[in-house]
Amino acid sequence: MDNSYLTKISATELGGLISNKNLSPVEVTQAYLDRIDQFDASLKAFITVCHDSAIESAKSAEQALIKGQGIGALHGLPFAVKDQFETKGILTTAGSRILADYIPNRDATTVSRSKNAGAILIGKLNLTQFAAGGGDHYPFGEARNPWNTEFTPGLSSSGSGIAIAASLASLTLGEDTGGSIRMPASINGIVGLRPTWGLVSRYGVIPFCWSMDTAGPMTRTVEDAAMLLNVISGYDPMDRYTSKMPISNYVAHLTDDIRGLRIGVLKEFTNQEIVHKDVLSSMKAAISDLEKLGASVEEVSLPLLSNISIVAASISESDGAFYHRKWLLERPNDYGHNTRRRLLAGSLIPAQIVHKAARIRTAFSHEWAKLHEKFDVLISPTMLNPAGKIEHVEKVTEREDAAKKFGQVNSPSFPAAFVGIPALSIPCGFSNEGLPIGLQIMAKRFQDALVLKVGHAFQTVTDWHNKRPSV
Amino acid sequence: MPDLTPENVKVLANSIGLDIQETELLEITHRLNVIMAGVEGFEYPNLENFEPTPFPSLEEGVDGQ
Repeated sequence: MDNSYLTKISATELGGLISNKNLSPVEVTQAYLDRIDQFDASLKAFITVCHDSAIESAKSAEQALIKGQGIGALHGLPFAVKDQFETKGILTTAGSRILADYIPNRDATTVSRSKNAGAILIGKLNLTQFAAGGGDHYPFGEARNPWNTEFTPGLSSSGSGIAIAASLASLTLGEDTGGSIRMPASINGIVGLRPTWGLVSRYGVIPFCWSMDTAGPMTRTVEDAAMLLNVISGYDPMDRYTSKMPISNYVAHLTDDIRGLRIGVLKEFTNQEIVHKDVLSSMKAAISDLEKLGASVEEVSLPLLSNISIVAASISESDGAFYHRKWLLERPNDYGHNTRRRLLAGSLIPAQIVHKAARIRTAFSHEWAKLHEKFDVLISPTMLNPAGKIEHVEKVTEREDAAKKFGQVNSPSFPAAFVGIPALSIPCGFSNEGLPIGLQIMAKRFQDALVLKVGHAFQTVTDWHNKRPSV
Repeated sequence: MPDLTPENVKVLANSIGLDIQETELLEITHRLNVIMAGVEGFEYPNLENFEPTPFPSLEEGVDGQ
């Protein structure tokens, strides 16, 4: 029997069918595993597929339903996580040959919370090396964009984006340092939430930059993201930088009523000189949809945005280099060359530069807060361009190339990472080449419920999130 | 601030025990110069009055609806 239709519906719908006993967790899990077997050889979303343990977990979930035992919010839903999240007894590579044999003895908190809520781990997802590594080959297979396999699936949570877009998992987790959830979300035409820094535990997530790394949901709909955030957010004694503030019921806050909401459009990221025309067209249409929903939308400028990416990068690159110092000394050739060169440069950034960047971070946070005196949320394209073709940067010989490739060019994903605010990417259109385009919605710290509410309202009047690649 | 030369970068790397291959030296020099120039050229008034906090506050803001 062809059960592939089970993989096409949202996790929220699927969860309802499972909890009402209209669907068995075993048939759902098997349907996803079948799709992985059928399509992942060409897409390479997965590094590890947990066939046997997933079916075993699904059988247990089915028994719990039959016996009428209490079930969690994610009961029976097949989920997969970026291979940067530690999983007890399951290979965790962080996308690097350096960890090709690493089998943790613990689950990341986000993984254990998802499992405790009934989710079924079906596999570990591909990523660029150590969640950096743009331009290098993927050591465990070249991840490809399911909309067109000649194009990149986005960095660094590549597999998480592919798996949702190609219906290879019902829910996924990604990690975002400077855009690594939102960029693949945008490029694959799915939903990706970078939660407020401190809302979701990073315990058991292999780090890149301590003060920017954030774990978050990558899903088919905003409602699915809210459902997963309900499960993974909140204080964790194993990550003392998680907030003790009470958390919301993010699903309960979803409504389609955003009347009177004040939305600012960041002018620096809608400048036609730097933004692709198809992205601009999609943004224009998205703004019109938000206005029809009753929001007031106005342009706003923050000139500091034009130069902030490189400042944020100076902090993340130096911190990432510190984490990798031991391996850089002992196993430099086990990195891809772009990753190694990036980490070596990060190792040499002078203290005065990093300290200045940290002060700029505080000043920038003040400037950002001022924007919120006038606006409830701020929006921009998630990326300035649709996905590019897969490209392996072998060598940069000119300083201008370095500037272009390594951060002097502005990126809309960096400000949220720099100030630790929630930022949601949702699908808002397609390029002329048929590649997805994302809209980014940002709010004040801990207003994750608000960005989800705006995203959900948008999805009640648009159907970009229902479009799927032909695989 | 003048750009670092590849020779400067090699000395700097050696000073912290890192060995950079000749084939990679130029690119690493470019990367480093781009980052340093980007931060050094960033102007903001009275920056000395802003503390270099290492991470965002955990208490700021409210749980939005």
